[in-house]
Amino acid sequence: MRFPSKFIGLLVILLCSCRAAGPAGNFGQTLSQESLNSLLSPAQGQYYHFDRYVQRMLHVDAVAETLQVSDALGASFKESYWVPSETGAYAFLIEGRNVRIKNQIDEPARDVLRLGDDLVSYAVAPTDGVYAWIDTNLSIALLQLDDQGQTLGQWTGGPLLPSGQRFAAGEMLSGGRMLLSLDSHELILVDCLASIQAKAWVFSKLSFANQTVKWVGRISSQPDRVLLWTNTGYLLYDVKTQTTVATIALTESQVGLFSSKLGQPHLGFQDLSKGTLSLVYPEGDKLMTVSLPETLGEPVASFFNGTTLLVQTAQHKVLKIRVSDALVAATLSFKSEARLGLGEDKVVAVYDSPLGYITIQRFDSDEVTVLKGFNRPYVQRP
Amino acid sequence: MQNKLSPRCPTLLVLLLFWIFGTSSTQMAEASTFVGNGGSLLDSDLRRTLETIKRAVQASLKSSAPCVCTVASEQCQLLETLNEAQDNYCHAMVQKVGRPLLSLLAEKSQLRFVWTDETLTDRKGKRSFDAIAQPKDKQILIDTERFAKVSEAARVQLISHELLHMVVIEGSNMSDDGPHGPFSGDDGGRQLLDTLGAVYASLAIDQGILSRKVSSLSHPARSFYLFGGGGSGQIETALARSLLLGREETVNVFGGQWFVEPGSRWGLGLTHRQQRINETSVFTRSFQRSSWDVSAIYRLRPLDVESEFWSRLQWQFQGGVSHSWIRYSMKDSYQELVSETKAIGILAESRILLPLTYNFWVYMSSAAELAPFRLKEFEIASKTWHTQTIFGAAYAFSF
Repeated sequence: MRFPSKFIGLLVILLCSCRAAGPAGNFGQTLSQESLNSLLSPAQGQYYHFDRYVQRMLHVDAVAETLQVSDALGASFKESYWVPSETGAYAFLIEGRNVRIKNQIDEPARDVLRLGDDLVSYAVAPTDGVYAWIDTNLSIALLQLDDQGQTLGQWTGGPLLPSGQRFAAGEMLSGGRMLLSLDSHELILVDCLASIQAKAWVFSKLSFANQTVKWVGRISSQPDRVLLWTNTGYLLYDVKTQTTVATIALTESQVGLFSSKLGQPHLGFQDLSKGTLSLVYPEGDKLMTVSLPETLGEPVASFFNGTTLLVQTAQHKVLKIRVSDALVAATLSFKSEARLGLGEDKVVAVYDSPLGYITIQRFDSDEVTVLKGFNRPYVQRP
Repeated sequence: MQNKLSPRCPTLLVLLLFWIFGTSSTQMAEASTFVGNGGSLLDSDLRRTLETIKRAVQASLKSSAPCVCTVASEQCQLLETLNEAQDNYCHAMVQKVGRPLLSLLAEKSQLRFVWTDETLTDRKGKRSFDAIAQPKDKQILIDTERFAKVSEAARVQLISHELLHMVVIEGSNMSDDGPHGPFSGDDGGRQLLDTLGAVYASLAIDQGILSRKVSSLSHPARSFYLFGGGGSGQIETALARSLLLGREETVNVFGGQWFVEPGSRWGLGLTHRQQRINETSVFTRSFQRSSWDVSAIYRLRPLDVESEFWSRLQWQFQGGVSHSWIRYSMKDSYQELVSETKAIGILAESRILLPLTYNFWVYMSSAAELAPFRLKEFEIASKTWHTQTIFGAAYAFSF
């Protein structure tokens, strides 16, 4: 089976595993989340889910509203992560501290690299085939692959630079560049391809105000810019000009509440003195702040496309909010056991059904697409 | 080879034993020769009656007062009405007809007993009878329904009466018509033959050949049977695997049978069967079959033995066609996937009925059915036999 080539972004399969949260910093895309919301490119409407009953991978195309079921993968697969490549020609199997690649779903996976501890997150340079795999000790394995998943180069580096600083957070940018924040409150830009060649960190230090970066969000429409969440507030930073383009400082009564890379990167904070909730997102050279409905609470997950914010609440609802005026345009409710995937004006809900049951709901109509019974040919007599 | 009739089925073993013991019986072999019309379910009763008459006649020849009733019975009431002359005449006739009667019974292969469901009347059609003797043809016509309904003592009286018509006294057969000694009047002969029949019946009771009590044990000679029961079945292994179920199914049946006459061996049956397999583990699978079948039935009494109970045991075979509705569903908390279809099939069944009292029966049956079907939505098909073992109860009656 060849993986669908239409996957432009990387899609992460979120399995049942309840792993510990990642390191103190935040690198790329964490592997520890449990919902479908971890998809990097939900706008493409592609979702994966490992079905524990039939031990197969389900691939939901929410655009075409179709479903594909993989061959049997085995019970042990539930402890693994599944990371399709952007070309669809291969997929990663992340099993503990091992990164493996499958070219065909029914072929054995081949080992690509092994880290010293369990993997917790990864980052990828879009279209460049450069991956960074991060373990619990913040060791980073760099991997360069061709379109078919063959290894072109690989090197694993520790979190400590020769100058004594340690990594704190990071994200992969285009061109194989990886932005890393250090515990010394500095930013560096790693040249991944050069590092692989040199078997050492090859980086340039960026001019940056002395702040602790907690989170880095890549802005796909502005390849040289990132959205940063620091100890003082939110920044729009340009790595090329090494300048802070826009800033929103948080006061003592304002606390960062959530962050998300679904769709466009966005952040949210709460003003404790006013009880208000606000959304922050980049737009051109600005960081925009808009108020959110006060009743929203802390989102479980969110998706932002520039004009509309989808928010999954703890009450198993998904709200569609027009950010220009905080209008709650629509609300969808789901059963508590549903695992939700937020996408462009759609929500994919995967239910814990032995026979297989998935719904695709739209905000713009009451119509619900139900994919059901797809496990039937594969279920066994318990 | 799978999906054949289950060798474990206990019914088949029992049937085999009955067949072996039943057909090895001398009396059974006798039946086909002296009961001339090919057999009725009452044949064995008739044989018992003839055997009883034979022993009663033998006893009558040794009795000093055969026409005096000693044990209360229906027949005694007739004997008690005899005056002294009739009693003496009766005694004399008992001695006179005894040996010819025994000779007749010893050569019973020359007699034909014909069961009929037509009302027997005299030539003028004015009077109906339970049986009619035709001495010239050495034939006795018996009203099946009447014979089935009356007590064994009444049968002895009835058949004795008819047999006496075959006995030649002073150059002619004994007749119902005209006076006969102290038995005067136009039907004096009939009174005498009834009296002699009553003598043999009373003696049979007196000698313990017949029970004093009227038996309430269910008799097979009934026209209608209603039955119901339950049991288990086995579906084919491949089908069970496809259905994600075990092979064992529960079966419930009810139905009815109709035989033209109470003593008929052949009949028709209509049976409804409900078969089901349910399993709920992780998710629910349910396989249901609901069918009606119409069958031809052949029945017999395989054990021609002294025991009243065992002699009334019935063995039925039936074969027919069935029409089934089949439904298979898979269900979890979110959905139910259903596939339904219909099937036409054939079936064969063997049933053993054991008599209880007051026309109630218990039975055990084994059935095999071939009803191929395909559940299109699930791409599941069945092509081979499945079997059932049923235990149930029946009630028999005739109008």
